[in-house]
Amino acid sequence: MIELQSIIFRWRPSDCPTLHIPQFEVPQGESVFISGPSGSGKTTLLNLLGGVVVPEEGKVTIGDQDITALSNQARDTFRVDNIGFIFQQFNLIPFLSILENVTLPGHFSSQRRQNSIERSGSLEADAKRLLAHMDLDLNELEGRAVSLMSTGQQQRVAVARALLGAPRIIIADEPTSALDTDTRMAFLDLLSKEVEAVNATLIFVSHDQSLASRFKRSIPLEDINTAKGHQ
Amino acid sequence: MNSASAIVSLSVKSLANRRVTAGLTVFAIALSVMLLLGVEKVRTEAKASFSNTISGTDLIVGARSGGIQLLLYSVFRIGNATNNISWKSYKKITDAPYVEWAIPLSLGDSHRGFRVLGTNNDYFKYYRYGRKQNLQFVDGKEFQDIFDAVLGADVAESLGYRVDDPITVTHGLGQTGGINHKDKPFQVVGILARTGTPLDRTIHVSLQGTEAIHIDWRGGSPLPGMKVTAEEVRQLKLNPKTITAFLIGLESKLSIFKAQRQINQYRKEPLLAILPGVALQELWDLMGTAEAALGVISLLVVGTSLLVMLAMLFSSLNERRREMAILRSVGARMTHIFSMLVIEAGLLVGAGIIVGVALLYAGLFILQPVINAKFGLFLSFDIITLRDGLILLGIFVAGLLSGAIPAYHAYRQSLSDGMIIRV
Ligand SMILES: Nc1ncnc2c1ncn2[C@@H]1O[C@H](COP(=O)(O)OP(=O)(O)OP(=O)(O)O)[C@@H](O)[C@H]1O
Ligand SMILES: [Mg+2]
Repeated sequence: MIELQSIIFRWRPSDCPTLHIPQFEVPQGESVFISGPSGSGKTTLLNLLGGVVVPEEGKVTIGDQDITALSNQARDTFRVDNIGFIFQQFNLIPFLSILENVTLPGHFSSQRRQNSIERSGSLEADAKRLLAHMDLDLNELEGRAVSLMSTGQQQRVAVARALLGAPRIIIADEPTSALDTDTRMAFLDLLSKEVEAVNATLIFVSHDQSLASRFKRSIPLEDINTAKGHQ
Repeated sequence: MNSASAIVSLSVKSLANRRVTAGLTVFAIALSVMLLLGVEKVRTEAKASFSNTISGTDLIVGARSGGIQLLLYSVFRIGNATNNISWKSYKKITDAPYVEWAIPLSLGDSHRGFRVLGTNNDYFKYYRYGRKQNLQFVDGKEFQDIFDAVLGADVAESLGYRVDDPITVTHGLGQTGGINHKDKPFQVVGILARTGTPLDRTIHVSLQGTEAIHIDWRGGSPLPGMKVTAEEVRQLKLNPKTITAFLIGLESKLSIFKAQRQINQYRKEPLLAILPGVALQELWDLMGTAEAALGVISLLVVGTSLLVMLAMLFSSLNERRREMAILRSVGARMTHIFSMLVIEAGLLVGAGIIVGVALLYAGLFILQPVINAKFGLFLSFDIITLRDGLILLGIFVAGLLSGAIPAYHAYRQSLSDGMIIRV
C-alpha cells in the first residue's frame, strides 16, 4: 500500500509549494494512472514516492514504512528494494550493455538480487528471462550499443530493469511519450501484463489523457494536489 | 558484486566510454610525472656522480682562482684553468714531509671531444673514486712509453678503440677544427674499467707525452719553421715546465689545514689548495637555487596536469546528469555518486603515474647513452626509490583530493536534480 498524508513539498524554500496533497492512497497490486499537464508536478510526486526528495510536512508511507522517517541512506536502500522506475526516455546508461543495464538494481539491492536468484538462478538469467518477456531477442541485440536501439526497445529494456528482482511498486513517468501510437499501446499492454503477473502496484503518470482508458483507476493530479501550480 | 564494486566498475566503464579525453588526461599526467621523476633522477644521480668522482684526496691544488672553478676543471673536466702552475712549485710543495703522494694533472688537449689528461703512473696507483676504490684495468696496462695512452671506459666504448690502436690528439677542446698533433700519434696501451665518473670520458697520457707534442709549439700554435719529429723528441729531456693542477694525499689527516695554509701562503706563485668535500658542498649550495627552481617548475607542471583532469571531469558532469539520475533510481546513494567521481580521478591519476613511470624508463633507455656521452652523467636503471615512491603517493593523494571537487559538485547536482532526467 502507498499512502500520502498532508504532504507539502517545495523545491526551494522561496518557491510556492509544488505539491500539497492532503490524502492519497493506492492499495497494493493496483494500477493507477495519474494525469496532469506539463509542469503540474507529476515527476515531483514520483520523486517524493521514491524518497529522492522529502516533503517539508506530511508522511509518505509505503507498505508500513514511513519513508520520511528514514535516514537518507536507508531511504536509498528502501527505494531500490521496493520500487522499479521507468522514465520518459534515455532510461539506459549508454556505456553499459543491455544486460548490465537490466541487472543494475541487483547490485544496489541485496533483496532484489536475492529474489532474482531465487527465481532464475542468477541475476543475468533473470534479466534474460525478463528481456524475453518484453519481446526482446537478446541474441539479436547482444553487443549492440544501447544508444543504437530504437526508443521502443530501450523503453522495454527499462521495464525489464524495473521488474528485475520483483519490487512491490513500479513507477512509470511518461514512459510512452517518446513512442508512436502503435508501439505505445503494445508497450502499455506488455507493461500492464507483467506488472499484474507479479502483483506489483503501478503508478503511471502522463499528460496524455488518451491512455486513461487503459487503467482501472485514473485520477487527474489536480484532484489530489491542492497546491496551485506556480506555473 | 556488491554496490561498492558496482561503483568501481561503473567508473571504469564510464572512463572507457570517454577514452579519448580520459586518454589525453592520463597522458598529460604521465608527462608531468615523468618530468618530475626525471628531474629528481638527474638531480640525485648528478649529485651521486659528483660525490663519487673523487675520494681519498686530501687537497686539490691549482692556480689561485675560485675553489669551485678549481674543483670543476681539475676533477670534473668542466671549464678551463685560467692559469697554470709551475713544475717547480709542484716539486717544492710535494717534497714536504707530510705529503704521502701527489698526482700532477695537465689539461688542455682533446681527442674527438674527449679530454686528454697528462699525468704519471702515480695516478693509477693513488687515485680513488666512489668508496675509496682503485682504478682497474679491463685491458692493457699503465704507460711505459711517452706516447702511450690509457683510455676511460666510455672513450674506448664510444670510439671503439682497443689496445694498440693509434690516436692523434687535438690541441684545445674543440670537437673538430682544433689543430692536430698528428705528427706525434699516441698508442692505446690500456683501458680502464667503468667508474661512473668523468674519468670514463678521459684519455690519460704521460706528462712527457703532453710535453712532447707541444715541444714545437708556443702560445697555442705551432712554431713556424720548427718541426720536431716523434723520433727526435724522444732524445730530448721532457720535463714539463707547467701543469694545470695536482692532487695531494697526506700522511695524516691532522695536517690537512696546516698543509692548506702553507700552500695558500706559498710565496713564489699564487696557489690555491682546497678540500674536495668543502668545495663540493659549496657547489651544492650554489646549485641549490637552480635545483629548487627546477623542482618548483616540475611541481607546477604536475599541478597543471591535475587541473587538466579537473577540467575534464567537470566538463563531463553536465552530460552525465542523466547517468546520475538513473543511478539514483536504481538505488545508488549520494555517497556512491561522490565516490564514483573520486574513483575516476584516482583511476586517471593512477594510470597517469603508471604510464609516467613507464615513459621515464623508456626515456632513460633511449636517452641514457646520449646523456652519458654528452654530459658524462650515467643514469642508472634502478627501481623507484623510497623518495620517488613518496612523491608518487603525494601526486596520487593530490589527485584524489582534487577529484573531490567535481565529486562534490556532482553530489550537489544530483541532490537537486533528484530523479528528474534532464537532457
Ligand atoms: N530539481 C528541481 N529544482 C527546482 N524546481 C524544480 C525541480 N524539478 C522540478 N521543478 C519545478 O517543479 C515544478 C513541477 O515540475 P515537474 O517536473 O514535477 O512537472 P511534470 O508534471 O513532471 O512536468 P512534465 O510533464 O513536463 O514532465 C515545475 O515548476 C518545475 O520547474
Ligand atoms: Mg515530468
